[in-house]
Amino acid sequence: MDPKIHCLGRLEASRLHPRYRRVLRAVERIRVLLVGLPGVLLGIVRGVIEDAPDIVVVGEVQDPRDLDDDLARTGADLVIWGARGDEDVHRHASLFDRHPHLTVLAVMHDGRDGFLWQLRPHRKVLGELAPRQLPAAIRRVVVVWD
Amino acid sequence: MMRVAIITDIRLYREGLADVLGRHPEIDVVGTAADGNVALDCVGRLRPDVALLDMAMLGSTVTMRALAAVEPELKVVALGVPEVEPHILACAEAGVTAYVPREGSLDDLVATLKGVAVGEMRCSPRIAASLFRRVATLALERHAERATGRLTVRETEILKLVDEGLTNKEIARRLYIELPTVKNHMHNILEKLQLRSRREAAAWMRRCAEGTGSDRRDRWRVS
Repeated sequence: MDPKIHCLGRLEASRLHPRYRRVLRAVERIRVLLVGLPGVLLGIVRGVIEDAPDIVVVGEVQDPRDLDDDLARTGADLVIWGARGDEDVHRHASLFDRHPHLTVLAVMHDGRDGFLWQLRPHRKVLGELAPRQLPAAIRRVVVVWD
Repeated sequence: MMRVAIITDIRLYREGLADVLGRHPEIDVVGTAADGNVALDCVGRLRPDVALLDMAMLGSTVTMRALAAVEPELKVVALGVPEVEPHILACAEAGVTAYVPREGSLDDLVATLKGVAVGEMRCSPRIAASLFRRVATLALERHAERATGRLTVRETEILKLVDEGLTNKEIARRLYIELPTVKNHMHNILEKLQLRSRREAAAWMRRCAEGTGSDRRDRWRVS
């Protein structure tokens, strides 16, 4: 990885020509923000992501009310959201207006199912989640925007 | 090295916990199971020290009881138990050694597993108090069971009236018996329950009723 490219901050990167931006994206790690995940599930997701060299956890927050600030601060590409039900994400639907490229991978608190939210907002059922497939799923949904 | 089996039908937890717990130097994840039958087979074959059982799994309570019955030496840790008294007590009564609430962290889980290995249980002071209360209630219930077993139907009837605040004379009148007969019954009641006064007998009666719930109260009711 070219250290000159790597040391560019995200704000500076946004001023780059799209072609260089794409190159930069290719060498950058996917930035994941973890929101409202209950304890053990948080440990599992964190453990799985730590194993993926191209994905990094940029923050952990329990309260989604300050998500605007957290998204701005961390520049997250993806949010993994621990939800009790669909209504948890619905309640914050305006986030998708303010952050049109926001991708949310919602994981139910019991870990049974996952949902993908994107495109202001479009919801897709992911069904049962397997830890080993989680990094691949993250790569797939983030690449959509590049 | 502690040998752990993970039992949950939720893949993310089953495989995820096997992965993250398996990295711990003191834990060896010997197997995983996605339902109760596989769990029993897995535990019988692999002989883990601890079974980590997800309470969100369908039939988890049945599995818990089956594990406790089939493998009495096995320590069962319940995962994802809501930290409220009835749930914890139900788990304790079903034979669970320790529990971790869903909100508990991975560190909490590891600490619980380590604690279980040395015969300890981690819990909040509130839950500890509930468990103490439950033990006291059970002891009282057992004592009441033994004591009431020794009382005759007539003595039980008289004790109930004492609890209602009736004097010996009033009891005699109510039951159409002689006053010395009531006194005789009272004497026998106090002796059997090893109490000194009718006031103590009434208090004992109330404690029994409070401690053992409405069923017990109904049993005491004299029609």
